[in-house]
Amino acid sequence: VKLFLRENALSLFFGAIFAATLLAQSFAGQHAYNAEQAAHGGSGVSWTTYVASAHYWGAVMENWQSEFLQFALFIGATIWLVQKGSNESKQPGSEGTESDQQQKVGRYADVSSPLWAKVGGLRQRIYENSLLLVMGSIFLATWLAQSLNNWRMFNEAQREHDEAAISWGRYLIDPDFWERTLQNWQSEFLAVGTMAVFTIYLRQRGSPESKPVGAPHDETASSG
Amino acid sequence: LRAPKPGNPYDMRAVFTIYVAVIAAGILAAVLVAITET
Repeated sequence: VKLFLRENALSLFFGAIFAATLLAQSFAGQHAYNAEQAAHGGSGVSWTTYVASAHYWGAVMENWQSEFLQFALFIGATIWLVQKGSNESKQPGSEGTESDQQQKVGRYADVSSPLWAKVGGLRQRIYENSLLLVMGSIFLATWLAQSLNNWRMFNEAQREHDEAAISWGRYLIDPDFWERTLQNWQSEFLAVGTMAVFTIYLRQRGSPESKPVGAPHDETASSG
Repeated sequence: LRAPKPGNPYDMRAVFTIYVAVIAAGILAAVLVAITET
């Protein structure tokens, strides 16, 4: 057990703080929602009602989608685009999907390579892109879930103001949906761009997200 | 993917499975709430 905890500490740490903050969000969200209801003369909801509400899941999915979009884009963009001096980039000149030898696929696979890296054909093609495919699919699924929950919330507000409900298709082109979406995207894009740029000149001793402290500024793709 | 042996690196499969399950459950819950909430 001790060895398991140590070898998986990074994933377990983030899993634990994810669970704690998701729970904390539900309590904070319930209070904020109830305060808003009270201001409009409505009655509050219980915590159990709130965690089964479109208000909560809309807020959760809104943030999930932008995180998965961020990583999916980063995975895809770093195949073809480089940033000289960045730890987050490949060496200039190695843009593209690289040779089978570099990627250890097909006949260049090792004994310990995953099976689907050796088999060729469609399975190898899928496995070669599995990270981007899965992250991209999660982005699309969470974005869809966000739109459905935000649409519910939007129509709830319409009803409270004695206005007509709109269809989901109509909601997809409503500024409310795009404001919620774009406010999340812009912050993710800034953060990713900042990581790419800041790792040129700034260091964190001991972190693989940084170059070694003494690495020159023009050295690209060297984890510390 | 091969069968896990006690104490070997394939124990990483546990965290992978937990993450996949949590993400899938979250998306499923969100969609179900949206399509069933009255």
